Amino acid sequence: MSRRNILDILTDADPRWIYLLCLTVLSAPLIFPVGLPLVVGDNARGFYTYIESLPEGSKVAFSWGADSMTWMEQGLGATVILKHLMMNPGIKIVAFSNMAQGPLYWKMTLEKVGTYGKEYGVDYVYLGYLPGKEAMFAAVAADVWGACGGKDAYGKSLEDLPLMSDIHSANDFDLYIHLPNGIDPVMISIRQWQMPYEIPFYCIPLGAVQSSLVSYRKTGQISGWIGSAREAAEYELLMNSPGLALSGMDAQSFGHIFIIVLIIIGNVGYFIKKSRGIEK
Amino acid sequence: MITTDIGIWIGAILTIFVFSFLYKDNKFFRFAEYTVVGAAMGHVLIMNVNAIIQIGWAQLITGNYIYLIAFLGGLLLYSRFWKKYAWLMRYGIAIIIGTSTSLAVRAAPKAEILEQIKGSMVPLLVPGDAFGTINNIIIVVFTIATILYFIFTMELRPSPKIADKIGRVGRIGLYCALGYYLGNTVMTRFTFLIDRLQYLLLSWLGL
Repeated sequence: MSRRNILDILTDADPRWIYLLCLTVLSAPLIFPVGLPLVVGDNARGFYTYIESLPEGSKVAFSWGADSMTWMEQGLGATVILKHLMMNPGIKIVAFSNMAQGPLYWKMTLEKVGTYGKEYGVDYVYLGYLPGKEAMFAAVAADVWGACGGKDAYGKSLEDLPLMSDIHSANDFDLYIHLPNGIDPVMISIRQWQMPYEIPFYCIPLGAVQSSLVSYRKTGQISGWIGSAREAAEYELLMNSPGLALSGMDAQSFGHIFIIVLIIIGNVGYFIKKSRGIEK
Repeated sequence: MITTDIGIWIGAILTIFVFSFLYKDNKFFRFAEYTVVGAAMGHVLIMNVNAIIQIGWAQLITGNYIYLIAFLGGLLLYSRFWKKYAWLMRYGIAIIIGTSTSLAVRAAPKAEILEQIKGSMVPLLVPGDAFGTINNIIIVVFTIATILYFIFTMELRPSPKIADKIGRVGRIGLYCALGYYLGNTVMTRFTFLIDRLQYLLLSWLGL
C-alpha cells in the first residue's frame, strides 16, 4: 500500500468503519470493566453537601421533567438524586412533571430506587403531569393546589395527604430541584421560581446544556447542578452507591480518547496532504 | 444469560433496527422510527386529554367558571378546520402567546439581562486570591473583546487596527466557548450511546 493510500484512509475513511470502531471501543469496557479512577468534582460535591445539610422537615419541590429524548443521560443524575432524597429521612418531597412522559419515568425510578420507609402522602407526594410550560411553572409556584386541580397524580384529593397541608406555594419549599430537558425549562425555572421566590435552585441538566448555565451559577440564580453522566457517577461515588453512571465511566473515557485520536489523525493527515500540495 | 423479558426484547430489537441506519437507510430503521414517533404522539395525546379532564373539566363542573375562558380559547384553535371561521383561531393563539409572553417578560429583564450584566462586572483584583484575580481578568477581557467582535455597524475609530486586534481576542474567546460546548456535546452523545449499549449488553444479553 502506498503512502498516498494510507493518507486517504486516514482522512477520507468510510464513516461506517468509524461507527464500528466506536461501538467496539465503547462496548469493550462495558464487558470488561477497567475501573479507571474518578475524581469527585465541585458540582457533585456541592449538590451532595447541600442536600446533606438540609435540616429535618425540609421540603423539596422536584420538577420531574423526564423525557425519553434525554432520559439516557439525565436519568442517571435524576435517579441518584431521588435516591439521596429518599434515603434522607427528614426530607419531604413534592414532585410534578412538565413532560407527558414524566409519570412513566417517575414510577420506573421510584420502583428502582425504593422509598426507604418514606410514606406516600406523609413524606412524599407526586402531582403528576401538569401541562402548560411557563404558565404551569408560574401557576404551581403561586398556588400548588390550584395548579393541579386539588388532586395528586393518582386522583387523591390533596386534603387527604397530610404533607400538602403545609404546602401552598413556592414559599413553602426549602429547595427547588429541576430536571429540565433543555435550556428553556431552566430559564423558566429561574424566571418563575428562583427569582420571584428566592428559593435555592439546583438542576440536573443535559451535559450539552450545562455550558450555557455557568454564568447563571456565577450570579447565584442557579445554586448548582450535576449535568452529565460523569457528575452522576461522581454523585454515586459520594453516596457509595455504584450504579449505571459509574459502570459507564470507563466506556465514556475510552470514547473520549477515541475521539481525540480521530481528531489528531484527521489533522495529521490533512497537514501532510497540505504540505505535499495534495490539498489546499 | 439472555433475558426472557418480552419488553426488553422489544426494546433491544427496536434499538438494533435504529442502529442499522448507521450502515444505510432501510425499512427496519423506518419501522422503528415510525413506531417510536407514533407511540410517543399517542402517549402525549392521552396524557394531555387526561390532564384537561383532571385539571380543567373537574374544576369547571364544580362551578369554577373561570375555566370556561381557557376551554373557549382552546376550542377556538379548532376553528382552523372550517375555512369560514378559521380567523377565530387567532384569538386562541393570542391568549396562549399573550399569557406566555407576559409571564416571561415580567421576570426576564432581571433574570436574563440585569443579573447577567451584574455578573460580568467583577473586580479585576481579588486580594489574597491569585486564581480569582486571573479568572476575573479573563472574564472582563473576553467579555469586552467578544462583544466588540460583534459590532458590525460602524468602523471603530480612531484605530480600526486596534479594534480588529481586540476582535481577534474575542474570537479566541468564542473558540474556547465553542470547544467547551463541543466537549460537553460529545459527552452527552456518548452517554446516549453507552446507555443503549448497556441496555443491549447487560439488560438484554446479560453479559
